[in-house]
Order: sequence, then C-alpha cells, then structure tokens
Amino acid sequence: MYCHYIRLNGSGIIVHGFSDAFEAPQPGDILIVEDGPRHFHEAFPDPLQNERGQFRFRWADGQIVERTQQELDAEWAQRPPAPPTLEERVKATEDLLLNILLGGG
Amino acid sequence: MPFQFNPPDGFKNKTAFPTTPASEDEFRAQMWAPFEQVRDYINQHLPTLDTPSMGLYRNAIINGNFDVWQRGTSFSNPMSGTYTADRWINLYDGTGQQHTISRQSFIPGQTDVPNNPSYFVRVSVTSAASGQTFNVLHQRIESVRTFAGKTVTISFWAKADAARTLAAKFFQNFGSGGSSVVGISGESFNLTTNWQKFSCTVTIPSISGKVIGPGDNLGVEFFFPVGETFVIDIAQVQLNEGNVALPYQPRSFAEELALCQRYFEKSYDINTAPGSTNINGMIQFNSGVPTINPIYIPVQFKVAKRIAPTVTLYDGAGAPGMVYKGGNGKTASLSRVGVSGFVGGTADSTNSSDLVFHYTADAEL
Repeated sequence: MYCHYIRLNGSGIIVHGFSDAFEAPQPGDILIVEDGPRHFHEAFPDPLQNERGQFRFRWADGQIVERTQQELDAEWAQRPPAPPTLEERVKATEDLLLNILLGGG
Repeated sequence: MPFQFNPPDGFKNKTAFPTTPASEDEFRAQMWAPFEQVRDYINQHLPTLDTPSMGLYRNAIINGNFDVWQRGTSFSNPMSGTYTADRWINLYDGTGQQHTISRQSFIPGQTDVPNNPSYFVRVSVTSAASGQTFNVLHQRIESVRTFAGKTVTISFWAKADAARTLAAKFFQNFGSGGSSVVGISGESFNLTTNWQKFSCTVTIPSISGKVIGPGDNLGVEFFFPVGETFVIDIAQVQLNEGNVALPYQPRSFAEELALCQRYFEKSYDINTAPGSTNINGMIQFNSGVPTINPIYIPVQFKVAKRIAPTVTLYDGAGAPGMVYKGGNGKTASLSRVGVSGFVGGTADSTNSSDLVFHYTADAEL
C-alpha cells in the first residue's frame, strides 16, 4: 500500500500531490492518506489544477479546501500584461511617424 | 519434445523384412507395435492437448522474457515499490540493503536456455539488509478473476552465483475495499550455478463470495533469500493453465511492448530512460504567435491504459514536472487525463509560442 502527500507553496496553496510509488516526500510535504492505492488520483480524484492551470485547492486548518472562483479570478487578473504583438508594434510606430509628419505633438 | 515415430524393425527396414511370424500371436504383436507407440505418445502428452494454445491462459505473465525495459535497464538501490523491467516490481523491507536489478544479455547462440532469448533479469544483493523479512520480484496480473478456481503451472529458468533457494508464491489481491489478500504457497527451488528449468503447479482458489475492488490482481512473485548477499538470474517466466509447464512461447517484441504499454508508456525512444536528455520523440508544438497565456496540447496514448494513468511531463533537460516554453523549463500543467490520452502544457506566462516536453504515463497496479 502507498502513502499520498501534498506540497504547499508559501501561500498555503496545494501545488503538488503525489504517491510515494512515484517520488519520495520532502521535508514539509503533508501526508494525507496512508495505506492508499498506487496512484494519487485514485486517493484524491479531483484535478489539482483548473483549465487555466491554476491550483484549485488550499490547505486550511488541516483540511483541503477548494479555492473560490473569485480568488482564482483575482489571481488570474494579476498576471503581467501581454507584450505587444508585432502588428501592434508596427501600428504604434506608424502612428508615431504619422504624428511627427503631420507636425503633431 | 517433438513427435518421433520409430516403427519396429521390419516395417520399414527392408533388410529385416519380410519376417515370417512364428505364430499368429507374434504376427499380431508386430502389427500392433507401431499403434502402441502412437498411443503411448498421445497418452503421455494428453495434458498438453488439454491446455490452451494461446492467449492469457497460455502465458498470463507479461514480459516474462524480460525483453521490455522502458524505465531503464539497470536500477541501483531502487526504493521498494519500484518497477524495473516492465511489469516487474521490486518489493522489500529491512534496512541497509545494497542491490541492483539489471537487464543482462544472453550470448548469441547459447544453448543453456532454449529458444534463443535475448535477455534475463539479474538481481544482485551486494550488501544484505538487516531486519529483512521479504525481498521479491513481483508481477501483478490484472484482475483477481484470472485463473480463479483453476490449476496453473509456473515455469522459469534460473541460476545463481552459488547454491541458493528461490521460492515462487502467489497472491489473490481483491483491490481497494475488497476482501482480504489470499496467499497461495508455491514451491521453493534449489538453484545452482547452471541454468535449470523449474516449475510448480498450484490451484488458485475460487473467488466465490469475495468482494472485489479497484486494483484487484493476481500476484506472482519470486521470493529471494533474505538478509544475505546473492546473485540470481531469471529468464523465460511463464504462467499457464493446467498441470504441466508448456514449452515457453515468446511473443514478438511488438506484441510484448503493446501489452506492457497498457500499464506504462513514454514518449522517449524505447532504449532511452525517462528523465534523460534526449529530444527524440518529444511532443512539440508551436502556435506561431507568442503568448503569455497557457499553452496546452492533446496527447493520445499509443495504447489505451488500464486506468487513467499518473502522467509525468519532463522538459528538455529531463526535469520531471516541467516542460519547455520558450526554450526554458516551466512548471507543467496537466488536465483531462484519461485512459486514452491527456492534455499537457504549462500555465506559465512567458511570452512564447512554443511548447516542448516528454511524458511518461503509468497505469501500473
């Protein structure tokens, strides 16, 4: 039988779940199931990540708690803005040149 | 043994034919002699005719010829619970054991073990464990229904570095939430330094009244000497229905690999161990447009898996749990992992259009 562990980041979010059939636990990993099946998802079927690749669960008061959609959306909104595409950069350059040629500011 | 028919002198050998019978009884005896030979041959081989000629019950062991080693070909001090040759898991207890499990090659043309096998497995314990109660090489045959209520015979070839004992045992494991494990005693064999064929016949109990849960299996294991050093080699393992060991019947490599891939597959080349730095076979995608958004691509398995597997992604440097996005290792993300495939990639916000990774998918019992 196998043991199953979770790993947290500094914010208490579960960023990894695994069975000791596949890797050895590190200091700080939390044991959640003893004498379990071989595969982690057999012991904990819910995917740890959503479609956006965000981690869905946090560890709170010794329990696995699902993060709210609000929390996930707020985290998503904090992503850095996308750098301009090549087309956007050409357009910006054209606008700037046009502005200069027309004697604008 | 191939069929050989040797009629008594006189039936074919013209130098002694015709022979005038001395009596009617002697004439009858001469006429009956070849038929008796045929009768004896058939009677001696009747169990063979009763046993299956192909399929699961011809040999329920997968990779009994030790041809497939997708995870690597040598394992130094593997943790207990490590799969070595495909489908073969090493389990042991105790502390301080130093051991290696490796693929070894037969010399081409050797005749000690028949059928020209390519490989055998070597289990070498160079430093004995203390407090050890078991050290085994074990195969879990999917479904505890396998051979339930039937007589089976396990056969294999083995040798050792000195006189050693090796036992074969069986277990009916009823899976998670199922009935308690049922152990079935096999037999203990005396190995020498020469290759020998061993076999034993056991009856697998009925499963009537049992409760079966996920992960049920029939376990077959080789029980090595405990708490001592040894080198033991094993080849051509077979488990067939019936009370005789059938001649070992190797499968083609393609067949054996496909059977193994129901339980484990990888994107790496067949001879490249997972985690190696090797680009052959990598899953690669380029959207053509750099993006900070996640990039995912679907991957279809070569063979449908026993269950949704544990998938591990590797970047180009062989780091597990990582993929390359923009040529650098980024934390991997997985979704929609099923028996036929998965979606893999990364949610990393690096502005890049390309995604590259290797994978392994493990659905072992």
